Amino acid sequence: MDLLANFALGLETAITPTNLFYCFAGVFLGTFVGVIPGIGPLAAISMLFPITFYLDPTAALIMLAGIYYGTTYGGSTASILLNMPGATSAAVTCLDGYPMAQKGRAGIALFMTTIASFTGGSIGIIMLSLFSPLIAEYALTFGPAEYFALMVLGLVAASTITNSTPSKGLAMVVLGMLIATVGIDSQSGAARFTFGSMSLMEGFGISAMAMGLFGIGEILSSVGAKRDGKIDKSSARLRNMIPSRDDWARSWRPGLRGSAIGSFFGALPGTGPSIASFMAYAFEKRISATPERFGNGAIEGVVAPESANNAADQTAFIPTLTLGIPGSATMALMLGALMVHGIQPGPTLISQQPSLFWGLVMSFWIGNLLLLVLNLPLIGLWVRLLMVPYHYLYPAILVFVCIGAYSVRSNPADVVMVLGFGVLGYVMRLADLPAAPLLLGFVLGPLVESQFRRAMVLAQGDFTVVMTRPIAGTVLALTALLLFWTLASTYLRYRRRTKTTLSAQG
Amino acid sequence: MVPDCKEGDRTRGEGEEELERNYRDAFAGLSLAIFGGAAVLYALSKYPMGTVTRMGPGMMPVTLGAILLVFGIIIAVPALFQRGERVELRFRALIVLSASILSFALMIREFGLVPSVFATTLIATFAESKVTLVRALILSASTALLTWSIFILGLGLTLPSYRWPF
Repeated sequence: MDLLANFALGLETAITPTNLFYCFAGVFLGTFVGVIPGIGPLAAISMLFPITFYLDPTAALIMLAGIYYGTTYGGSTASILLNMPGATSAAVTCLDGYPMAQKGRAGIALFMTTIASFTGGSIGIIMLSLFSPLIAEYALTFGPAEYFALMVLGLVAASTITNSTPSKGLAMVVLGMLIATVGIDSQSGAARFTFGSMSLMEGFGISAMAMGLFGIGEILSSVGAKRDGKIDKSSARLRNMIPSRDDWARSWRPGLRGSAIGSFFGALPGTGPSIASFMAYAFEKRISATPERFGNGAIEGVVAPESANNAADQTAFIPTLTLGIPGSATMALMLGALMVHGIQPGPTLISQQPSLFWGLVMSFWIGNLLLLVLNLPLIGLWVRLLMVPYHYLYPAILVFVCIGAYSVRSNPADVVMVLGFGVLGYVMRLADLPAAPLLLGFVLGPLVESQFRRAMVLAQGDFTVVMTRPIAGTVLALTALLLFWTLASTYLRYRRRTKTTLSAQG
Repeated sequence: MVPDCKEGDRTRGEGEEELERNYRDAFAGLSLAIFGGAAVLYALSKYPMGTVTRMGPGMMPVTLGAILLVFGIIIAVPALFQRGERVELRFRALIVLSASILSFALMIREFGLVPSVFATTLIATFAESKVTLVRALILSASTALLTWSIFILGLGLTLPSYRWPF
């Protein structure tokens, strides 16, 4: 009954006209950028980040979250019609979605992904509302040592699991943490790496960094590159979208399994929607009686990953909101949005800000319902959007980034700083260095530093005290294991690659 | 801030040409190592380290710089023994778009929103040669109108929409 009271409270917050409007704006913009290949949720959230400074924290979070899960809905559209994922979490959807489109079943694929997304999202929301209070209550006993250990695990997991070269991901986390030390040190009051510049005293802003790395960096690397793709317009007519009885029969079980897999991987640090969709696809293929259909337009191969990535989108909020530890760069931005408003997410957030937490949860339901409407009857609109050439879109995106950067402090220097981070983002792309771990390190760096300091003061400088605390010790041991495993496997892969290089030469 | 933007050969491996060594990773790792090393030296000379119980402002930068140095080497050294792809740097996009953003930073205070957005959009269209001048002008004007209606009319940002400084 407690849960029902909380839902009622949340609904009350979520259906105020302001919050409804920002929820709609969020999911609409999310679908918009999700549909356009090349602009992911990170770029979209970064660009709109400054606007949320003017909103109250609940509305801000509702809108940013709406963009986030909205992109996942929209991302599948380009995957199915163009064989080009609109967002990375929709990459797996290409495998069977595009073959379906080639067979003239694009409409059915689009319909089923929307239903699967809604199912996955709903199950993810249920998981979020069931587990968050439990985890928060448990986390009340955590001290600085536990937080330090969990943050280190989060950073290591996020930079190693999804990257093909873990050493690069780890280096980027460290670089992000190093960049975060610029400015006044909160503990000692010393100015670090400011080189006598006044504007560096406050350090770099998270919005300038995110907009530069993901907004400008994205544009710099896609402008001038080759783009192509043709779309069959008729696929998006509503009457071509109705799935057969056979499609339904094949889909409901993969949808539920995908949701379960997605909920699990979404809540873990470092995995998130992309891994979740991949796992769900691999699992369906493994247990299928007819695995040879996968890759040739099997509906299960579309439903499972799409329900998984949407479930993961929702459960990703569990560690962010209950522990204050984001599992991905996108979640780090959500955390940043809260911290700008002076709210520090952690185990006390649910009890101290119940209307914010439950309002957000209920807005997810509303947002998912809105997305159902946006993606079924309005699918034609998005297909038409896919046909707008990129050379008309990027100048407008550029302008939005500039205005956003300037509006934070009405300081033109901030725009130049965004450009600086944009060039850094471009160079990093060229050098094949991932930008997401950099942002995560930047956000978590100062928190890791202060928790470590506190833990060391409590332990009187003895690190073994931290290691022997049951939870902190276990988490650190897990981190060490993960680190060892990834570095060892990279080394083995490198040796294999070098061997083939040598034999190719010889 | 950008440690490795001078090197000439990079990006977007369309995989047309293979190189003897993976210069991309070698340069990336080397730049990171130099950046980390520089941070260590600078922090050591300027900020007190403190003790583990009472950490000084230098502890974190020195530790992080040292880890970055190690990872830089881990990235760079194996790359010397691997084959790599040629990386292509698109100077045109980089220069034109930088000019476009800088024009916004320089104009926004003096001229206000509408002229700045117009100029930024117009310059940005030159990054690709796909848009004719007439269409670029139409695009710039409509972007200016759109941003004006969103940010000044809609969100009520305290920004002058038009100004003539002379």
